[in-house]
Amino acid sequence: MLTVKTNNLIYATVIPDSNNQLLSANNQTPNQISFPLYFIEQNQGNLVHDKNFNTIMTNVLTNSVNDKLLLFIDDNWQNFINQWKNKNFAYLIIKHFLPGVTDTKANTIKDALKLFNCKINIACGNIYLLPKTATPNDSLNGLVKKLQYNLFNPLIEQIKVVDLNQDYQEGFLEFKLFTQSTNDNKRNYYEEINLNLKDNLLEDISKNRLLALSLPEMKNVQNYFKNTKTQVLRNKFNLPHNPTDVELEIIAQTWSEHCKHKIFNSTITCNYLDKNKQISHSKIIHSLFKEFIESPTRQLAKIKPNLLSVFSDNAGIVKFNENYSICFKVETHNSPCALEPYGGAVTGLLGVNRDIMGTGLGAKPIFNTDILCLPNPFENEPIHPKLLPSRSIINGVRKGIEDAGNKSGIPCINGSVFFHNGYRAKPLVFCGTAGIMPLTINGLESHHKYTKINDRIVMVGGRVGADGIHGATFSSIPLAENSPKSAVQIGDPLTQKRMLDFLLKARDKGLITGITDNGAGGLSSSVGEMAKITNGATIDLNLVPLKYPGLKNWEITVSESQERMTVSTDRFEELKRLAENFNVEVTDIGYFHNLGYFEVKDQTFTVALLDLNFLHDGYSDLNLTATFDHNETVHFISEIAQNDVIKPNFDKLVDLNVHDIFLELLTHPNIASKEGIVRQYDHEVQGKTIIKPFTGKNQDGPNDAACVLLSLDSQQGIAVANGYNPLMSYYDCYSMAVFSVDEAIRNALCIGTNLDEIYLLDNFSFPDPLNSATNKLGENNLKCLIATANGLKDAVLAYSTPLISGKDSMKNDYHTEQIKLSDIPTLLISAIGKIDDITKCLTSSFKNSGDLVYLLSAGSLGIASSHFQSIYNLNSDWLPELNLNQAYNLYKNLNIINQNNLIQSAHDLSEGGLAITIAECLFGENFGAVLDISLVYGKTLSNKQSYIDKLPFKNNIALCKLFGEIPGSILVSLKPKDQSKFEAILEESTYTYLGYVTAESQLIIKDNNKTIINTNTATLNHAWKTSVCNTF
Amino acid sequence: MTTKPQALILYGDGINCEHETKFALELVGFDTKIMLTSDLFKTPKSIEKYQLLAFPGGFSFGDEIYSGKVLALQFEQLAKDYLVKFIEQKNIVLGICNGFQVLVNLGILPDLNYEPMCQLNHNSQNKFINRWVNLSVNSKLNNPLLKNLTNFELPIRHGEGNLIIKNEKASEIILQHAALFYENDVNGSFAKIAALTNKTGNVLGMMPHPEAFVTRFQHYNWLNQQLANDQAKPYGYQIFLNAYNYFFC
Repeated sequence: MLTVKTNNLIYATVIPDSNNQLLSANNQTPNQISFPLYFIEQNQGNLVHDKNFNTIMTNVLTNSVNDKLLLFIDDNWQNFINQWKNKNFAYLIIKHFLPGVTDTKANTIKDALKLFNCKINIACGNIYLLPKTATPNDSLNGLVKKLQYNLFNPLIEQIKVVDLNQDYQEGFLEFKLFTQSTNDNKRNYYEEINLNLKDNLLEDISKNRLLALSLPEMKNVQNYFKNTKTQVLRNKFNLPHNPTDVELEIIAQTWSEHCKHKIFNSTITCNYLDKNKQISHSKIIHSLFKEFIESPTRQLAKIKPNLLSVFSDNAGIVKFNENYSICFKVETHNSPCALEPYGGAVTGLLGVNRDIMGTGLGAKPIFNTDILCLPNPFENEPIHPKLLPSRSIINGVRKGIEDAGNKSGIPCINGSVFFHNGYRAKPLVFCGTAGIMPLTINGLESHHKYTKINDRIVMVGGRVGADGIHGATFSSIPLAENSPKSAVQIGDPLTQKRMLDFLLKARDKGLITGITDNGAGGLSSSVGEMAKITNGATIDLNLVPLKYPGLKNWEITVSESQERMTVSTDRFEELKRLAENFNVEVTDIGYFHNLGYFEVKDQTFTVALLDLNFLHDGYSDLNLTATFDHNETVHFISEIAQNDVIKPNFDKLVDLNVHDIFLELLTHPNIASKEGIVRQYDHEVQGKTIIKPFTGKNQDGPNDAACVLLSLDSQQGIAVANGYNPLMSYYDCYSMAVFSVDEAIRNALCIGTNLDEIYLLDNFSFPDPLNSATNKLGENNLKCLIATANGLKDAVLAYSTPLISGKDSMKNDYHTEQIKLSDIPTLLISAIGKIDDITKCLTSSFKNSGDLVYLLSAGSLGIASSHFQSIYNLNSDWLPELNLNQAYNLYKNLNIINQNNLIQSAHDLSEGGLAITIAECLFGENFGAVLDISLVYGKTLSNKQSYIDKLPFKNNIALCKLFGEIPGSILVSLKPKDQSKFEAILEESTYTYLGYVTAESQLIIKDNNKTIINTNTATLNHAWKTSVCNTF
Repeated sequence: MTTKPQALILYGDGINCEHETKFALELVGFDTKIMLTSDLFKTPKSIEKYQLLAFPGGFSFGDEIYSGKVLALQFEQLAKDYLVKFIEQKNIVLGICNGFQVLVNLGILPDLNYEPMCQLNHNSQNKFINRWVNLSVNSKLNNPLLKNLTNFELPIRHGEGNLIIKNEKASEIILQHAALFYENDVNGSFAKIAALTNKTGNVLGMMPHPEAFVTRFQHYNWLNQQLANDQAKPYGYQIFLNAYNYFFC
């Protein structure tokens, strides 16, 4: 008989009740069986034999149809194990969370048990049973390795494997599940950190404590503490001469690249060399952010009266109409998603939701967007420590976005997925949210904060734990083998949803004077930032509610434990009463003042006291240099590409068949339908999504952008779209930026958005632009960054579309001694816009047979950077180009055409080019078309013969027309009766008539009187829907 | 001149379709109140002021343990008697998506007179699904809330809509209470059942979202004129209108 020590734990599982014969369509035999497992802490008495306990647990944990509660008592384990052994299962696996990891199910069970006055500590896990065949000849260790990242993630979970055919290991049921409260509950107030050290030792402190502070910054800190004025103040508060660990951590979080964007604000000396490699002239960029992002917005602000708040709050705020403003923010969550994709995505999305909730006086999130850039899912790359397989990343991230968005009741209406091996170092996970606010709330303009002296500082929502420590500094350094697991969190949508419901109510009742998110840097950042409003704040850590005891003071101060907001109020008691109804915890942890410092206390003892000016401005400006050769222009090429040298695939080139290329592109994961992913996101909750991801009678025509109603009874819509073009970074980062802006805007225009009311966000995700011993490409990356910023500025000015907020992530690298990987420079542009009259909305699908098809374009033909090129490894640097001025005029005219109801559909050219765009327009209503591309882009070919001559198919330029990815291009359809009015509005050089839509589902494309494509729409549709994207 | 019927819409603890449910009810003529479940449990008697109780869609208690489970437990412990009385007095109870899951967990559907016999389980694909589906009404029941509807479209947005039932005996009873069927097998649900109603027809629990189709703009293809003319009638509106008319027939 098996006897096991159970360290005071009761185990329970819920198994199917075999007495009931289940009627369900689901009859397949699984190769793996799983049951929930509950660990119940038994503190007093003998719960197992308590009948009442059994009844309560059955009530809470089982359904009454097909479940049976099984409490493991005495020899139950033995019976349980034998039962599975007899059914030829070979391994039993027990999985549970590591102590301190958010266990949302356990929290809900505790909520339910309260109904029965039952207060016990419970943790949730799973039992898995694996059959023999699944793992022949595996050692237990080999098995665990195989299960890693599939069945469990070692950063947050632990498994124990029992070989059912072996004797049981002593202690197989011993777990460390709950964070143990130490007997010594009195924590040390702080540790004094001696900074009277030599430079190399200062650097060691920064490195060992994961502070991510440079040597000059460590010296700034050293100097601050040497200062007599500082010391006088410190004496008064009984603080040591040296900084405390609390102070050093606050400084590090506040000065992190993540929070201060030091690279974007650095001073860059650009040296331009002449032919003799001598500096011919130099130019200083004082701040990329100010010169290329903020300045164009300031310029445009003169003609854009609706900009209410840009680059200052948690999100950019724009006046929408006389009653409402909207705000928009997109964040990256790359590093956490690299380590724990599910948790990273949940906390990423919930985090940007909180940015919206923390904008102005608090906005209500109305939609989410998500854009993922991931490594190729087919590739079997060697797995380096901390580099997860692409499939694990996308499965985890997708599930995380699903849970975070769906459970919060915020529709995920727009996004995309892009696979490329340029994302092996870190996956890029862009999470975006827009919100809505009344323009005034209780007589106050909602886009300001009104925090004043003596307002209470209130922490709202979740409790503080050791999870999420050092997130801000961790994301400011490359991923490495020793990346901290404390930076990984799971997230709890329910807690946040309750907080959201509560905060909106509190806001409308006038109980909130200011609000901000507790994100990177935790309290140190949220309170430290808000303290700027009144010029001072004091908090008492002893009041901060903790998930479990044993946290050090510095940990409480910088912990990024999720689902928390910081609020200022002058009516705390009312706020607290309201919160109780919503099941939300609120705690008064201090007050705002104007004494010029940020003070952190532990009861009566001060543990940190920092001058606010020093805290916010004491970091060192970076000084960088970029040297440009005489033949280098601002159109700069990323050398990251050198890892992926293009080798022409001559085998594939031998008989290039247009039909085969077409089908191969349609199934490419970047081009194929993402329906399998999209339908797992709720994109209709709140009832306002009127342009959905898919349209047409079969719900499968892809839309370019999405639109939500301002409110359920409104005739006005809010549009959202995105654009990016990372493959262009291999040729020209300037154009990469221009094309990204252009694509976002075209996408928005294609659903009827007014160009005059489009506002943009920029998200830079770049490889490290700082040169160092381990980063030889730093300067090249910096030059790419400068080029991208230049392109961004030129494009937003040309289109008069101001940037209102943004984010940069500058350390998308992976370093170990064996390998160094860097991401391809990527700029994501997100667009939010206004549709004044939703009856003018457009979708991509052709609407009527007989309608005429036109290509509108301000771009010129090219083949480089296209998916066609990359599939066939064509060696060509024939780049497509865009005439920005012509594009602006074209788009304005498109708006006019649409206002006059002259077009029936619009769809932009993007991944895969014109042929793919045409096919996608056919899908929605299962139409066909007869088109002729002879004249397409003809006028742009005049001086391109040298490029054409180098192509292996130089006599077949139609391939470039069909599959080139040309910016500035939109395919539209119109009723024949509207043809002359339509043409009259456009400049002649910007449109080409292609043909007409047919009811017969056959696509016929001709070039110079020769039919080059003649295929059934269903064939194309099938290829497009058969993609790896449907397997996630 | 009649006074408007009063509808109570629950929210809090993860429910998230309260606003569009309120909009739909007001559109057809109800007076509405959105109330936190925690407030209702403090004074469950206040339910007597209303004629319609809506359990909106969402993820109450994060769908942990089972979807709808914990909210059902709370009702069971704190307000069951009032709810039973509310139903017996022929008021309307509408459970949508997560609300349907709550009603099933409470044993209110298929009917209070039976032992619990069904459960809404994970979809057979084991995936959350958001798409529009074709539905057909069980014409044998003459359910007052589904009047003037035969075959129609509504969106589904759920991960756990797969109705499983206890045994052969239960299947007969369940079929007698099936109000709506999916035209295609979308989630593995027993007999393609999409909605259940009680014997008296005043309790309706449904996985599809009627509140998500009360204006034509909410349809996925409203820009197709042909469809707009002959197919895209807001069927959800009709269901709420039926609820309104129920009190004046």
